[in-house]
Order: sequence, then C-alpha cells, then structure tokens
Amino acid sequence: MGQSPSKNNKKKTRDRSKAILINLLKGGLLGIVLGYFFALLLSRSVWVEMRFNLGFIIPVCTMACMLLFLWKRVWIRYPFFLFLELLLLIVFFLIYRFEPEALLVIPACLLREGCRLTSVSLYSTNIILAAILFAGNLVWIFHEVCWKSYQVTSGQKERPFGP
Amino acid sequence: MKKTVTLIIIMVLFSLASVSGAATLIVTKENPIKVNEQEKSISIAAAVNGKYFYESTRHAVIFKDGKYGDKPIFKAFVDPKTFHDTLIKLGFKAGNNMTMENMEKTFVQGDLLDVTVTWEGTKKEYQLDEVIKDSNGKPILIRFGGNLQNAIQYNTGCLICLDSCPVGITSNASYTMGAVEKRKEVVFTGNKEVLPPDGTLVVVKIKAKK
Repeated sequence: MGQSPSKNNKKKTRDRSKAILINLLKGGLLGIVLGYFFALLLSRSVWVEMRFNLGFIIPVCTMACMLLFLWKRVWIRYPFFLFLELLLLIVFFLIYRFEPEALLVIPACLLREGCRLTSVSLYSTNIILAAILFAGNLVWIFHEVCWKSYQVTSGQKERPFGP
Repeated sequence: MKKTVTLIIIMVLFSLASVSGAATLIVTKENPIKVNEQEKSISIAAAVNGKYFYESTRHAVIFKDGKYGDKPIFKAFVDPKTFHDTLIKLGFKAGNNMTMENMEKTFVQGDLLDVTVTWEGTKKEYQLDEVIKDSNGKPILIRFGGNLQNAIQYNTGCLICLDSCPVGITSNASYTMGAVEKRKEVVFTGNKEVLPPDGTLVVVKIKAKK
C-alpha cells in the first residue's frame, strides 16, 4: 500500500532541503559570474581601480544572489548560465587583449582582494576558484539532467524538488 | 671509488659557484629595512604584485598595510614614517612643495633618487625604468617629496608614486598628479618580461642619483 504519512513528511523535508541547497548553489555561481562582470567593467576606470577594493564586489554579489535565490523561486536554466560564463570569458579576453596568462592572474587577484586573503598564493586561489566553478557546474548539469529525466518519465512539468 | 669522489667534489664546487653568483637578499619580511650609511642607501623588502603586469597603476611601492596596500606593483613591508625618517637621517632633502591645491600643475621637488630592484637569483640590480613600463617611454625620475604629514593623515601607505604626489614620500617628477588617472597621459605597468612572479620577495634600494 502507499507510504505512511510520517515517511511522506520526511521525504518532503528531504526534497525541500535539496531544493534549498541547489538554489543556494545556483545563486552562488550566478553571483560569482556577475561579481566578476561588474569588477572587470569597473576596473576599466583607473580612478576607481586605484581607490576601491573592486574584488569586494564578488563576495557581495555572491551573497546577494544566494539570498535572492533562497527568498524568491528564481528558475534559471543551465544553458543560460553557461552563456553568461562564456560571455564573461569573451569580455575578459577582449579587455586583456587575449593574453592567456592574464586568466591565471587577474581572477585570482580579484578574489583574493575581495575576500581579504592577500597572503594566499595565486596558485592556491586559482585552484579554489577552479574547483568551485567546476564542481558547481557539474552539480547544476546533473540537476538539469535529473529534471529532464523526471519530465520524460512522469510527464509532469513541475520541478522534482520544490520548496 | 676515486672517480665517484672526484665527481661528488666537482658537483659540490659547481653548486657552490652557482650559488655565489646569484643575488642573496639582505632584507626579509621580518627585517624589512637595512640602511647603509657609507653608501647612503636604504634597502627595503617588498613583494611583487602580479595584478599590475596587466593593469595600469600610479603606485610603484606602497606599504602593504596602508589603505592602498593592494594597488602598487611592489607591496612593501616598511611604513611611510620609517621610510621618510630614514631618508632624512641619511641626509636627503625633501622638497615638501606638493599640496592638494597645486598637485595637478606642479612637479615634485626634492633630492633626486636612484631606485633599483633586485631579487634572489638575479645577477644585477634593475633600474626602476627596467621593471616598470612607461607607455610614453619617459624616464622615471624619483624625487624625495617628503609629505610626511599628509602620509600620516591619509594613511595610504605610499612610498613611491609614479606621478608627482602630495601624499607619497617619494614620487616621479616626470608627470604631474592626474597624468595616470584623470588625463590618461600615461600608462604604467609592471614589466612581466623582467620581473619574477607574483609574491616574490624583492629588495628595493634607494640611494642618491649621481
């Protein structure tokens, strides 16, 4: 026969927790990308760059997006996020004249300054950033695949995990 | 056995020779300043900031704990007051001609200084012109501006600025204030073809220019 009410409640709580975590992850990733966009664009003004800690925009944007995704049911598809990542990469290379070494220095410097971790090496910062982005993208892709397979098998259009 | 011992002796001698040819640092993060009263020079410890290989800046050397500690090509471990007082103690004369009102029209005055940079593994002391690129190709003429009161008041940490500055202890007399940020007359970046990687400890030596 069907599941008991207590088991149903536990499942709902688990699904809700999963949904919250996924939303936080998506918000965090989007915040990182948007933070870098704003920091890079503002750094084009030498006057601004010389006076403000532009890297601070990255953690601020990250926290803001995470809170937004938590509070509102913002639904962004992975292809759109991937497009934003690629756009950021293009903008970066246009700004730094397609110098590949700049990619190993500038993002890490901005993150280091923003998080006030100036004693951490560029190498370590690059590893941390790459790990966050790589793992985050993988989890998002996996979530999208799960959602698509849920749609196909159940025929429903509602999200598999929903608060 | 004899051949092995000979080979080991040759290897030891070779490694000693290569070590003695390389520069060894006379200052460290823990002891960041050294004064040579005979040579009339100051050597200060600083770390390379790789961000400014790709970005423009108007600061050559800033104290790492100053307000603008992340903005120079070299982050120093010596504060402006110590730097200023040591220059005075060595007999250098400060210009003290820069103010907030005249800064955009005035070139810094004071004794002309010779600034060189070296690090572990180099065989020479590089002139500031060699490690910092001026987009106009003008020479970098560092003068002892003074400005101790402004340096303490604004707490920017500036030791060597790349245009004439009313806050930096020393600054570049080739340009007036605003040349980098406001009027965009020049772009200064670290020379990545010469300088070592980000975070590398360097020795910035300041003495009288002959």
